[in-house]
Amino acid sequence: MKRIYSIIVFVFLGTIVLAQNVEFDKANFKDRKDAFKEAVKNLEKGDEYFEIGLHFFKEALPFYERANEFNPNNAELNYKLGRCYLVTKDQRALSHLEKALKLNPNVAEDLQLYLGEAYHKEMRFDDAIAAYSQYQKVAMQHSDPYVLKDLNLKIKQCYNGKKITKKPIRVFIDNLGDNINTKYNEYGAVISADESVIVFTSRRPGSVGGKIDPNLNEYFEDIYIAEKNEDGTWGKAVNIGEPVNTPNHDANTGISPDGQRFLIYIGKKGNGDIYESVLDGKVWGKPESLGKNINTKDYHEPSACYSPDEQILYFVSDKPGGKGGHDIYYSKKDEKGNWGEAINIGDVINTPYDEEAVYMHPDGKTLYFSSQGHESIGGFDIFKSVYDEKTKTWSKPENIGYPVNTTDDDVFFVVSASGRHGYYTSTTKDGRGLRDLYMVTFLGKEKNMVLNNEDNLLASQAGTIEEVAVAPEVEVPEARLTILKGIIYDFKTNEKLKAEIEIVDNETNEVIARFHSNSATGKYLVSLPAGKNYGIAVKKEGYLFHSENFNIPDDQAFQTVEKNIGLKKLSVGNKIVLNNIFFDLDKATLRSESTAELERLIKLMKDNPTIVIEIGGHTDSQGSNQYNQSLSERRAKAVVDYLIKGGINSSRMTWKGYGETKPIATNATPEGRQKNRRTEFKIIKI
Amino acid sequence: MKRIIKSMLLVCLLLQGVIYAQEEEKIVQAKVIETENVLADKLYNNGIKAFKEGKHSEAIKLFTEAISKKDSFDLAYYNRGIVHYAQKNYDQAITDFNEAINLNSKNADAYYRRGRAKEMKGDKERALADYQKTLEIDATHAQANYFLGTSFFLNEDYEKAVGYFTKAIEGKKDFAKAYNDRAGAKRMLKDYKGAVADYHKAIMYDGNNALYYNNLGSAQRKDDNKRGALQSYSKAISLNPEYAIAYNNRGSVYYDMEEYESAIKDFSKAIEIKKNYAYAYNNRAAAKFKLKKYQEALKDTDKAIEINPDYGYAYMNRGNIKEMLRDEKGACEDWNKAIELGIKRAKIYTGICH
Repeated sequence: MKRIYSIIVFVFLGTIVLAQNVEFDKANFKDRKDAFKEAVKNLEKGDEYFEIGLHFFKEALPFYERANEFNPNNAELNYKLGRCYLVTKDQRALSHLEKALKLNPNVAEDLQLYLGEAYHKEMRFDDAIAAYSQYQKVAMQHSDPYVLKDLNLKIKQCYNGKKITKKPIRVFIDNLGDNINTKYNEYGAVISADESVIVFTSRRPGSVGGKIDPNLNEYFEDIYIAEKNEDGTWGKAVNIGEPVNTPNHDANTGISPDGQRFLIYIGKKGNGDIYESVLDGKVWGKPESLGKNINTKDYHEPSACYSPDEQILYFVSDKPGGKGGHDIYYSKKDEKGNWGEAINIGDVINTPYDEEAVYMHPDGKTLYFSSQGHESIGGFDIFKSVYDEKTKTWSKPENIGYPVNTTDDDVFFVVSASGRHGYYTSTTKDGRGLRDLYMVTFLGKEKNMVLNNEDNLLASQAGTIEEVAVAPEVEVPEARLTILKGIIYDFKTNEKLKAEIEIVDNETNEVIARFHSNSATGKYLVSLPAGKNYGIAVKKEGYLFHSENFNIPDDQAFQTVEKNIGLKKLSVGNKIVLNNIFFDLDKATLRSESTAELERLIKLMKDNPTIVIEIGGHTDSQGSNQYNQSLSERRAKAVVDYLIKGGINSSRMTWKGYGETKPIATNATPEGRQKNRRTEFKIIKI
Repeated sequence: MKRIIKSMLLVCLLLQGVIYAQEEEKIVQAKVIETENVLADKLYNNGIKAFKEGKHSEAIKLFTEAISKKDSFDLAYYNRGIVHYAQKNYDQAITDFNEAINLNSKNADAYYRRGRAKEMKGDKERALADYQKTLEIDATHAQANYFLGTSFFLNEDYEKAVGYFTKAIEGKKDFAKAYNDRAGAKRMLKDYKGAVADYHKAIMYDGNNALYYNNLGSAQRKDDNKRGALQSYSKAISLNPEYAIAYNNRGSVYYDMEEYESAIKDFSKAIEIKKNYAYAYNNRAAAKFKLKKYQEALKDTDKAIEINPDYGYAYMNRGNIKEMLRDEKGACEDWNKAIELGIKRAKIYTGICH
């Protein structure tokens, strides 16, 4: 019995001892003098790093850990370990901070703040709110408005977190793999619209200059690029090299949908501006500043992106006059190709807190950005807002959801043209170390499984009546975009060509955008939102232009169309189909949608004043031969008449109707017949 | 004169004799008929007795003899028809009912029975006409109302079906089947509460019928009374432990209640009872999907499709499973196959299939 008592007493004492703060005092370790000395040394070494600042907490950790091995019951050491692990995003932060609280609740005035942060990171929102509220009392005594504002934000984020984590979104999250990620920091990925090119920033060794930033204790940033292999995996990322990368920090921020130009953040002390580099063949050009309407002298412009037609630039700045912190602005390209005056995008999107990492989807209306405000669940979260062309307003920013958004900083989010994939930076899951790049595959709302049941409803009948039990489905929204891509080449020599691609809205006859194909690869890519009739003209000096027509109905789902275009030289006998000339049904009246193509033709004739051409009219095989012959003649003549009105001498043109005699496709299908109904342009003489 | 009178008397006597003889024959004849009729009636009664004892051939023989002994014996024709019907000799049954109707056009039952025989032969239209004729003679004829109800039900005219079942019940208060079938029609009209009430009535008059409990369960499930549905299906299973449909149904309720392990148990039991039960395989796949056991779920949908290669929903479900297994191409193939098989809702999934 006595023995039992002594065990109970021992256990009781043991508990008390555990909860007692043990100072690093040699009196406490009389019998372990040497080990004590070693521990104190480690403690001091750790403190040296700790005091430099956050970026060196990582270096303090091994020393603190050794000291903690010797004396695990020191409140202050546990507090410091907790703070270091908070910075390195290690789960151990919480247990050390909790222990510090238990050993001595007064070890540091801000203990409850960091405890709150640790709970917050672990998504223990109620505990975090309690700890933050405790710290609020301390902060009130100092009445520091910044601290109080920050605390209020954190508490609000916890409440948001409680709500948003209840309904996680369905996604697959995949690490982009060893060809992209290393044990160093990778972040800020941007992709081309067809997901074939990725550009990102890394702080890995082997950077241009190869130096470590003494302030951040990491390699200087450089920009890397990788292309997708045919099997869908990423090829090895390569340093994009000089002149884009410099020995200083070089971070990419935006890329054009065709991957031919990108935007770079070049950091300078107290400042930081956006530059643009353009791919010429295989060489990236020297980054050029976007000019005074975008960049400011004394403020940060850390992020920017293009609209898909490259006519609008969205960017982030902390210049004065905003809604608070960093805000999102936009600027439109003027007729000379310069960026116009910057306009704050407004307080539907901008908050008193920071907005960052802006990205416009290839659909031209869905804006993704990161913010500490709105319904963030912690740090920066990613939001999306959709522009309504009719009301000219942005929708209320929507948190894209957990688990993509976490209680950590979630920034740099870009979405593929199809809307199926997002690319972002995270420290979670199967990381290669520090921050890595991940791809998110959106699965949409949960797909319902359908159950089948049956009953013999009629007592006198043997057959069963079957029933399908299922909840109503929710449509998965997706981007209504057509990605048109391919290669432009010389029809005869196969040489890849740099040509101008002009996109015209055939209804308004306005040029929506102009792009160029790559001079080395001939590659081009344009993204065409659904709901318009597009005329696409590919032009190059010395060549006949090539025209394509894309009438994309409003309900057209996402599609990728590959179209390689061979341009024909301006030489006798060469002919092209004028795909953007339209007539009224069974008439020879030119429709207004043909204007842009006809004007293009006039310009070609004026630019090449010696050429003589034939306009040929063709029909499909429906209707009588005689009728078709007459219709094709009248239509060809209508085109010639338009050109004469446009100032082209009639002696330079002949016209001919071929009726249904020269089909270029089958007349058995509607698609084939549509191809056969055409107007051609042929060079007779140069 | 005397001679004349004598002759006249003789003639009178002779005539009287003739008349007398004729009457006597009549009387004898009548007596014979009377005796034969009695015999026929006896045979007829014995026929009924034999039929009740399950001696069908003997019953037919007895009724046939009765018919031969008694002219226009409409009831014997009618009863012989019933025996033929019981023997599934519908043509012979119809011939007998025809004769019974010829002999007595007011025999409502003969019309009704002829209708049944025609229905069994698949001649639904003529059967309906006979039921209608039955009701012209006897509007409260419970059986005719009942079968008219079932035929409207099968033609998916549930409103009319409810009307006839109601009349059937009016004609026969404890008509459990009519309650069950009216409940079925109400269920198809989405009147689940009305259906539940009718199933309870059916059970009140016939408490040992597993079918009624199973159907009650399904109506309760529709009426969002999951607990009640579970109890009803369990009762159906206790009355008929081999009731695969009830297991499949109970499993589905467990699925609704997100009790996927219990659901899997029931679907497995249904499969154990009914080896090629495609629905149960499909449903078990759904429950396994919910438990994220995608590989196992895939096997179940494979099996459901193997059993029924035109099972559109199983294709759709398998597409969903393949998506979670990161087989996007396979998922798209299955969703497209489901669309091909008429499952329109699969279309909203194929947006990712480029």
